Amino acid sequence: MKPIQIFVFCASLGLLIIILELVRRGKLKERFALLWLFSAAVLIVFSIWGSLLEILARILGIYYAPSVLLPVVIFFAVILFIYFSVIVSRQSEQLKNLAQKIALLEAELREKTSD
Amino acid sequence: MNNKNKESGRALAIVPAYNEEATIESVVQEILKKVPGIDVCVVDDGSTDSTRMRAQRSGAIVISHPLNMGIGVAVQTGFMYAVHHKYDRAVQVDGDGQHDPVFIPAMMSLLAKGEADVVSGSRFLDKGGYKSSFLRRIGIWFFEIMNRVLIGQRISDSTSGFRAFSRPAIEFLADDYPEDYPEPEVVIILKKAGFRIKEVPVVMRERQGGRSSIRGFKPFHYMVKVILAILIQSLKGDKR
Repeated sequence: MKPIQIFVFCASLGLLIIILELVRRGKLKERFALLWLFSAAVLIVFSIWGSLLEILARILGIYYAPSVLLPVVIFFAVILFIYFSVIVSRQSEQLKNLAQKIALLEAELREKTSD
Repeated sequence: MNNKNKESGRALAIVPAYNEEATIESVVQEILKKVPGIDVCVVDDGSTDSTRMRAQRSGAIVISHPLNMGIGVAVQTGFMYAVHHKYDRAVQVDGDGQHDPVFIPAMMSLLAKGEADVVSGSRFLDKGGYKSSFLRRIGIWFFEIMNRVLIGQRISDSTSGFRAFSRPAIEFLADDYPEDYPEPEVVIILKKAGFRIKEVPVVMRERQGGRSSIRGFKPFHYMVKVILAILIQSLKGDKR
């Protein structure tokens, strides 16, 4: 193993542990943790299996193997951002419905008690 | 509560208000005075000042959002209240005193006669009164062209928040109402759903208190958001 591989392996392992710890403490929900666990797992595979990057580069026709990482990372990041935007939209819709319901119920309650 | 009203049926004035403590009382009282038999419902959109207390004191029904959700949500909450309490007509009036309630009876009677499903007050059909800033007029002119192309009707003031709605329109909008900068978008949604919109000339006053919700960099955001929303709406197909 090259030193860089050891470094990447340790970093990925660290990431994995942080995610698992966040889930365990209840600060990260399991459904969101899955994506992060998956990315940590992918990183670990790459750090152990050093020639995987070169194999991928050859398949894709890329001369400089490490540059395979860039489009892959960007692709994952974009997917993640879209996913989060969808979640934020859904939550703001839910929040809106909740706020309206509370407001209407409160108005009704006041009408009933003032009678 | 509802004494004599020229047309049969109950009417509700929906007043969305966010931090309008300077004007809310006089707005409510002016509506109650100039429009006999109407109920006034102030939707306090999570105000941090005394808007809620003053609105209650002035004799309005007050619905308070626990959070500030934006004017579109506030108006929609008002529609939900109108649906639930079986009002036949509703008119939206701004909480800052720009809209003179003296025009409400005429707007309502157009609805009652069945000449339109939605009556929108326009400050450009008639001379006089406050015509708003130069930039905003450019925006409104742009929407006018867009409306002509997309819905084939001339809407001279599509940013007007002074509008009266029939029961079917209220039910329709209580279900789905755009959240931010809703007015121009609502015109398209209603038209696509087959509602008849009619504009009547009104004179608007300069705001008596508070600040416009569109300031700073917001005009740019406003135009982009509204144009995008209108285009998306016209792609969605007919809803009704």
